[in-house]
Amino acid sequence: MTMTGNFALFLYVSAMAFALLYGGFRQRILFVLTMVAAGAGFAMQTWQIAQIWSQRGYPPATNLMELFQLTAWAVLALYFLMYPLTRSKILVFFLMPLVNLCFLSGLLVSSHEASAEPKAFFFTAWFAVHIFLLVFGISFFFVSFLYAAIFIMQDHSLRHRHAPSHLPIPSLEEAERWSARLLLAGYPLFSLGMFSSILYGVLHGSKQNYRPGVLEAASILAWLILGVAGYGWLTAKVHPRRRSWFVVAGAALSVLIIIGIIWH
Amino acid sequence: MSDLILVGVNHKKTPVELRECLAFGDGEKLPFLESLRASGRARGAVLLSTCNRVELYADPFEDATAEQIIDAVMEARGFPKDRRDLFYVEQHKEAVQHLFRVASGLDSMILGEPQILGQVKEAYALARDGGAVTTPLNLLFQKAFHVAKQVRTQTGIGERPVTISYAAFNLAHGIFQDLSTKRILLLGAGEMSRIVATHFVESGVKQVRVSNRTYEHGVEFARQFGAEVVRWEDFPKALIQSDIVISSTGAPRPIILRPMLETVMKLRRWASLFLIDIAVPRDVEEATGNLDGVYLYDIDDLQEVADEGLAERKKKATLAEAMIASELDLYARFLDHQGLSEVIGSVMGWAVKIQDTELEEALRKLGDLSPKQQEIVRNTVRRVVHKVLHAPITQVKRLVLEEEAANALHIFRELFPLDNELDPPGHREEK
Repeated sequence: MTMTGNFALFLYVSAMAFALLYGGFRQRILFVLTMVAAGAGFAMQTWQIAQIWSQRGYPPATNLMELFQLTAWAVLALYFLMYPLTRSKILVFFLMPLVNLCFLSGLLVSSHEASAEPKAFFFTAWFAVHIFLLVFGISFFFVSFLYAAIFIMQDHSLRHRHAPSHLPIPSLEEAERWSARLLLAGYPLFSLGMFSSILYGVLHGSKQNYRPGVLEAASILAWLILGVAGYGWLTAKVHPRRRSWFVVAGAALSVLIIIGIIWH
Repeated sequence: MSDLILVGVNHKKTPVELRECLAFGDGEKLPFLESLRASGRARGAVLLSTCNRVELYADPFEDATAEQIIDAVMEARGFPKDRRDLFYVEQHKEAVQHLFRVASGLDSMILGEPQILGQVKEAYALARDGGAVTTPLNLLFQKAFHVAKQVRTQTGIGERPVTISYAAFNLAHGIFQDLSTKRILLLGAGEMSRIVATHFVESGVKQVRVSNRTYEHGVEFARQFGAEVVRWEDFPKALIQSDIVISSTGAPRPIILRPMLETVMKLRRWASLFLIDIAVPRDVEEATGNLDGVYLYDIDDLQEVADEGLAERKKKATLAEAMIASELDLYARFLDHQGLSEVIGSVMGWAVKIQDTELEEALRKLGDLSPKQQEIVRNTVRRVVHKVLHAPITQVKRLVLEEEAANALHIFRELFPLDNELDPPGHREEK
């Protein structure tokens, strides 16, 4: 990893520490420090991505490490975009560990996988569109998963007759609303991203970008589970708690896929 | 610490019928403060009059006593003279500490309740607008607001609910994002139901409906909230359009059963329904609480939440008391610095007066000096005076910071003949 990347990682870890402290003490200054550290880390990583992209001529997303780190970047970008709408400070308590998990997972797999040899596909606009749709789709799913998990926590707390104030997590209504919005927004992005590479392969008579296997099948399964959750939200035929569990199951399957990839 | 005097009565010792006698109406507060100042008992004062306390924080004239200030309050309200014993008096540091505790909600009937800070702020604003807030009172109240805010944010003392109505309200916040858009249905017209509903309405809930077995009682009850009345036989339908249901009928058996709610929840498309059952015997069948989207709380559940909250607040109150003690100490040191500035100002004024007198005398004796030469002489003398005073002033500042303020200031005052030879205000202007 480059010096800029190391610096970004240091800032993300610092932001996570501040976010966890914020969850415990809920002092405004800790939130400000979280945002400053995360913002600085984000700026560093953006700079790193831009540098690599301009050097290679295609986005740095051709191996797992780069994909994980790009996902961390997209999750954070999504939070910064959402914050003016949600004003949810406590979300950083859940989000920063996720960002760090993505970033560090990238480092974990980096020793297992060498950078892919440049292919013609990488230099096309198809590739950039494919990657950004996919990565942003995943980041929407991840944040949707956080809200679904918050919904389940809040529901559990309310059903056990506890006043929900130990950790000021969003209300059921807010958690459900944002989980649904993000899932429904992320689903088309992810689907388009997933099928754009297949479409490219079909159009160019190449199958190199689509190799069916267990992992691909599991990805399709996660995609279907999330689809069911999205359908539940659209039709309001399934109770929010069950819909949230679907999202969590979809995310859990995604994590299992990631672990499988690393293990493999 | 300042010469602050606090006199007052509160809920701990004084019954409500006597507190009522002492309570000042909005239009009575300022005239009272004006009369207090005109009587020569206090330079300024802030009057805090709430349902649980009447307290007067006074910046007294030198010869005024706490007894005289109590007399002023009693006379103003026609309070029985034989109940003078109900008044408490705090002075100096204890009065400051009392205000910090009051503003932080530590002296309130409901420990840690937040409304008192707003009431203290209102009392201060009223006195300030009426010109009754002197500099020491201003400093004191600003500090009290700061301390109360610190206590509230750093300990989180007000976060957990301690009353049944607040417990219900707090739980509702866990379910709904914006209560102002939610719809309440009141089943029955009991007193407890009214208290809980009032809490919601005061917090911004606009749509309230009432359903009562006796329609006329329902109409009367609904008038208190500007609510719509639903006929008793229609209340199951009203459940479909309600988000919060507060039930307190006198029915001997449950009136909301699981099959009824299953249908209601399907029709609601599983939107969350908050059921507050404060009736005994209960109005809502217990098994309905297991339905998806139904959050059912009976009176015991709410009491349990309130008890948990109270225990938590008591723990946090210990931390709050420690914070107040620390802030009190800081405030005392701050006031000492205030005294230091005054003393240093007076010494400088005294020195400048001597400097100017001697300079004029010297310039007169020296005769015809050019403006430049006069300027050189003036600057030299000024530098000498400042350099001579620099060392003692620096030393006394250091001593004050090292918490030897009282002694240091005393010695400093003794060293310079401030009281006899100076008229400090005039010299401060001169300086």
